Amino acid sequence: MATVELEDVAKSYGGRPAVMGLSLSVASGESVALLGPSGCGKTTTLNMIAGFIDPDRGALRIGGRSMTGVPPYRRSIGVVFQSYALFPHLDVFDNLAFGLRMHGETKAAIAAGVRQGLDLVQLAGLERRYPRELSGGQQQRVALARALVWRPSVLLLDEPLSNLDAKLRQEMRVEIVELQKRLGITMIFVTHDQEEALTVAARIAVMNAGEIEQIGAPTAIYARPRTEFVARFIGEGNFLSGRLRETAGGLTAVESDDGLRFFTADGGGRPVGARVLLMVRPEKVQLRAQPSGDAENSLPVTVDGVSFLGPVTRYRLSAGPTRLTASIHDGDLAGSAEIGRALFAEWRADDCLLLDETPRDTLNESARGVLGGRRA
Amino acid sequence: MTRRALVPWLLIGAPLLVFAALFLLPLVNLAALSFMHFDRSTGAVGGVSLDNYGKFLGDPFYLGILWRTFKLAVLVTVSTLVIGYPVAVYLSRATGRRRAYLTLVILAPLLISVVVRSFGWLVILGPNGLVNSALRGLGLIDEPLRLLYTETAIALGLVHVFLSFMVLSVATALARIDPAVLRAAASLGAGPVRTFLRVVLPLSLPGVAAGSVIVFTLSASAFITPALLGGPRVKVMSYLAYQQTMLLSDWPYGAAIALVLLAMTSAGVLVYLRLLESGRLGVVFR
Repeated sequence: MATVELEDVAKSYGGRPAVMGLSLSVASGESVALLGPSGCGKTTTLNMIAGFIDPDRGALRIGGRSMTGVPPYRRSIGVVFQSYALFPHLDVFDNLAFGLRMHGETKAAIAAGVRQGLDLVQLAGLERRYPRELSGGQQQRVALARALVWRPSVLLLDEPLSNLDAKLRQEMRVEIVELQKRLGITMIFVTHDQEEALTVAARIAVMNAGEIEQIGAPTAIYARPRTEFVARFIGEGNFLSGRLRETAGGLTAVESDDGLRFFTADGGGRPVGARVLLMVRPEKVQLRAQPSGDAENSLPVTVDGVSFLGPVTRYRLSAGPTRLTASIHDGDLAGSAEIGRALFAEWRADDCLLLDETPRDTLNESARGVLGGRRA
Repeated sequence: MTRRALVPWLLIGAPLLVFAALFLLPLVNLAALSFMHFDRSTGAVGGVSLDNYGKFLGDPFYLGILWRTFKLAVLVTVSTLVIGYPVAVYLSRATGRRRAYLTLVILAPLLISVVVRSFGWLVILGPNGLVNSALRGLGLIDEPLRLLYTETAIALGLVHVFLSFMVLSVATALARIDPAVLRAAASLGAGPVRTFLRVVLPLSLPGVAAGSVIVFTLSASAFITPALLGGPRVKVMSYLAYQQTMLLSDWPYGAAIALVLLAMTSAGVLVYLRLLESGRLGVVFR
């Protein structure tokens, strides 16, 4: 298996930058997701790694070897395409055998390799079917097996699950993770689906406007998003904009634009008076009939809406003009919070993050969609 | 039948009528005529006989003309394919304005009357034409080569017109190939040549088939170009039918020749398509 390194790689199309000075280092056998809205440059990045597009500048190394001037067919990369891109004129056997044949394997080795590949994705018995005779899920599996059977050192996947229905998608996620672990192949995975990235990758690179905004383990990115964009793109959150008022005893007080006062343990060395954005995840918000006294943030709210989502129930709350969302595990409230009821919303200062607002003017439409049009 | 079920019939009704009146009816008439007997003093007379067909199939002279027509049609089809395929590849990859101009250039031969185009070839291929004067000027030949009134001249003239049909059908098939499939081939280790041979070429077969059928049938039944560039010396089936019908007034025999030509082209097309579809790559036609 091989490492993949990108160093200050950039690409623009007709003067419009798609990827701007991107650096990324993927360890051998690691799985990394490039996550971002459409137009963020993630597919361009993948295509540059595969060799389908040449970068304008920067260095790309696979297994320590510079890939400048190396065409895709000499790169040892397996690619799974969004459209699967199976060869429509070849049956499943020949689709799988293609890579082996191109690498000069013997007839016996090809037969053995294809059999292994079919077993890998549980498609034994379908050798003589043509792609058009397969379901979407089966085509997906063939595409995956075709990319793997000739043992490339890197596997690239471009939104491989976006054409499958929800249930199949979950199954395939698990299969891909297990395959990747079993084969120990270096994997780079492009997706716009945060759930996919969270479940499949060991590390996530959140991309925005041609750059990586944050890279890290899924748990770290979820718990500690560094920018407003990352916070909004991964998971849900309550966002409250305001000004920093004071810092004392490890707590920072923020006065929201609606005149409410909140406390956070996240100071971040910002000066008093700075504009900041507070974020608290809905599942960190507790609802109580009376203030409990053990959370730094507590405010009286009215229940505006209740949505039962199975494992959790989502409550829409308001405190004057301030709107909040709380996700409560079923049973915690035992159905006592109905619409119109007055309760207390509480969360700990540790669960409240301070962020800088992401400037809107540099972003494309889909990135602005992520941030919401509130403050254009 | 419900009113809704009638709608398609109403819509195709007019073209269907035109087709029946102007094509099927004359064809039936022609078939009937071909079984009649021709008498020099009375013209076509009734009675059903296979005499005309017997006369054609029993005479090596006529069979030779049929063979030449078939050979020419195959030669023209293969030539347009060989010359047109690279052009089609280029056209299918061009975009925007370049594509529009290129299409115009490819269609240009069709914008000129077939008579004018053939006279152009007369000027080029004649004894004192462009080719012969050039060769003589270079001192390569003393006597002018006989280029006109040969099978080569007919083939040249036909390739010139029918190339557009081949290029456009192959280009259409090429444009339908998912670019990701080509990238997939590259990622699996296939360089440009192997990608072309193993992916592009097989997937373009439907376009090749369509183009071949069009060029083959048009070449086999072409009249003006072979008449002008081949003349009475190098007769093809269409010219033979014309000669029998218009010059010798033997309408029944002319009709029989026309139908033999029709049978030959239909059989040629059917066998060709059957071969392609039953082949290893038949799946691309489904």
